[in-house]
Amino acid sequence: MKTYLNLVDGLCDAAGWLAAAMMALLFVLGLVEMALRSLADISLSFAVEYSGYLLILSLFLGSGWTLRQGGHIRVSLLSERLGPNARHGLDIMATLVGLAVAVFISFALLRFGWGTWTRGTLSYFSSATPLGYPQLLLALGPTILVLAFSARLIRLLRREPGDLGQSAIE
Amino acid sequence: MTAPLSLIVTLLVVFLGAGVWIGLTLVAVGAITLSTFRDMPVGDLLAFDMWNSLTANELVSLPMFILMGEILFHSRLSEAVFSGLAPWIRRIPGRLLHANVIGCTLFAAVSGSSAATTATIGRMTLSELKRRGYNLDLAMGSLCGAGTLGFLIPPSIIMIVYGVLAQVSIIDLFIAGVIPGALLALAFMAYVAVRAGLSPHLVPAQEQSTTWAEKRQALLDLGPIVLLIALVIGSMYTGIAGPSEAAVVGVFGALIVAAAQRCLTWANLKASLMSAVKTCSMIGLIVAGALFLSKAAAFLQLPEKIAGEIGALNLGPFALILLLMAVYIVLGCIIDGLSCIVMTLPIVLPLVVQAGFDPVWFGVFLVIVVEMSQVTPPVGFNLFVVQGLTGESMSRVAAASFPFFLIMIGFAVLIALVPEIVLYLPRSMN
Repeated sequence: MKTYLNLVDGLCDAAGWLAAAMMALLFVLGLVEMALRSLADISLSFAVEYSGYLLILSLFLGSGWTLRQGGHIRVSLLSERLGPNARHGLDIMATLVGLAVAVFISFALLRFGWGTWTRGTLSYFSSATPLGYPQLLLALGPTILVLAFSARLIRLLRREPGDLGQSAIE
Repeated sequence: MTAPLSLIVTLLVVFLGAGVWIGLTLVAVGAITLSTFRDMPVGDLLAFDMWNSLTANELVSLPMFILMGEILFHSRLSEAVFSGLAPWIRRIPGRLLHANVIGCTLFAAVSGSSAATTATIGRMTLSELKRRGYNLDLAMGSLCGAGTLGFLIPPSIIMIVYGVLAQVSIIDLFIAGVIPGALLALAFMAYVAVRAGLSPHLVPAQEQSTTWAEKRQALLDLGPIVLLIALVIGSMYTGIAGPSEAAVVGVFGALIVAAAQRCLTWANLKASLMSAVKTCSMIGLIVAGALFLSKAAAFLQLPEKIAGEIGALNLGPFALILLLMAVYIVLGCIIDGLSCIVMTLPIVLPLVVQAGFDPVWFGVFLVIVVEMSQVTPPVGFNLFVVQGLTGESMSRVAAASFPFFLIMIGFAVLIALVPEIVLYLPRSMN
C-alpha cells in the first residue's frame, strides 16, 4: 500500500512539473512570437494554436499535485464545527464524491481524445496537427487527479492527513 | 422554483456543505441535473466544452498574469515599494499607513489577485508599521481593504474569468476598472487620514525627516514598479498588445526586475512556477465546472425562466442591484469571490442585462462586490493572509477591516447611482 501511495505521489509530482514546463513554454512561445513579429516581421503560424494547447495543459496537468498540496478550494464552514470523528467521516464522503467526479471527467476526456485519435482528426490550422495528441495529453490531468483522490482516500482510511498544506490563495 | 433549479440549488448546498471541492461540485451538479432532465451524452458535452472554451487565446493572460505576480512576490519588490514611498508620505495625516494603500494600489497594477497583493505589500509594511508604533488595527484594516484593489485595478484574474464567461472584452473591463480603483484607493486614504486626524495617538508623533539624497534614492526604488506598470498597462491601453501579449510582456518585465534585484535564482523561479501551477489548477477546475454548469443551465432554459420570475416581481433596476449586492455579500461570507461569480453568472447576467445594465459596468460592480468577500469572515482570503502575517485572531482582523468593508459598500452604491464613473473611460476609448 505504501508503494502505491509513493507511486501516486511521484506521478502527481511529475505531472505538476509537466504543468510548470507547459507554463514556461507558453511564456517562451509568446515572447518569441512577439519578438519575431515586431523585430523581424516574421509571424509564427503555429503560435496561436499551440498556445491554446499549452494553456489548457498548464491548467489541468497539475490538478492531482494541487490536490495533494491542498490547493483546490472547498468550503470548510461545516466541517470546522464538527467533532474529529464526524469531520473525518465527512472528509471521506467528500473524497468519495471527488473521486467519482474525477473519474467522470477523466473518462469523458479519454473518450473524447480517443475518438479524435481513431478518427485521425487534424486541427484546422495550417499545422494540421493530429488533435488526438494534445487531447489525450489533456486527459492525463484528470486521470492523475483520479489517482490522487484514491491515494487521499487510502490516507484518510489509515487516519493519516489527506493534504500536505493549506488551501491555495487566489 | 422550477424542478431543475430546485435540484441545482439543493445539490450545490449539499455538496459544498459537505466540503466537496468547488470545481468538482460544479461539474457534478451540471452532470446530474442534465442527465436527470435531458437525454444527452453529458460526458461528451463536458469534454467538448472544456476543449473548446479553455484553449481560447485570451485566456493565456490568466496563467501569465498569475506567474508574473508570483515572480514579483519572490523578488524584493515589496521592500522597494515601501522604502520608495516612505519619504513622500510621512507628512500626510496617517503618515506611513498610506504605504499600505498606495503600495497596494501600485502592486494591484501589476498583479491580478487581491490575496497576492495583500501578501506582497503586507509582508513588508505590517512589521515596519508595528515597529514604528502605528496602531495595529488601522494598519491591518487598511491593508485588508486596500489589498482588495488587486481585483479591481487591472490586470485582474476575476475580470479575465468574467470576460470569458460573459463574453465581454477583457480590455474594456480592464480600462473600466481604472477610475473606480483609483477613487476607492483615495476613499481608503481619506478614511485613514481622518481617523489619524481625529485620534493622533494612532500614529507616531513624527517620522524621521529625510535628506534630498534619500528622497532621490526613494524615487529610484519606485522605478521598477512604475516601469512595469507602464509596460503592462501602457501596452494594453495604447492598443499595441492584447491582454495575453501584455501578460507575456509582464512576465518578461518581472523576470528583469527580479534579475536586477539579484533574486532570479533557480530556487525562486521554481517556487514561482509551482505556486502559479497550484493557483492555475485551482482556477482551471473551477472555470471548467462553471462553464459546464452554465451550459447545463442554458440547455434547461433556466436563465430565461428565472429572469421571467424576477421580472414579475417588478423590481426597479436599482432595487434589483441592491438585492443582488445583498445576496453576494451573504454568499461571499462563505465562498470566495471567484467562485461566487462563476456559480451565479449564468443566471444573474441575463437578468441584469435585461434590466438595462451594461455588462462591462456590471463586471466592475461585481468585482467590487465580491472584493468585499475577501474581507468578510469566516471565509475571506485577505483576512487569512493578514492573520498569517500577524498571528492575530480572525475576529480582530475582521473587526479592523470592517470600516473598509463599509467604504466598499458605499462605493458600490455610488457606482450604481453614477454608472459613468465606470463607463466613462471605456466609452471614450472606443
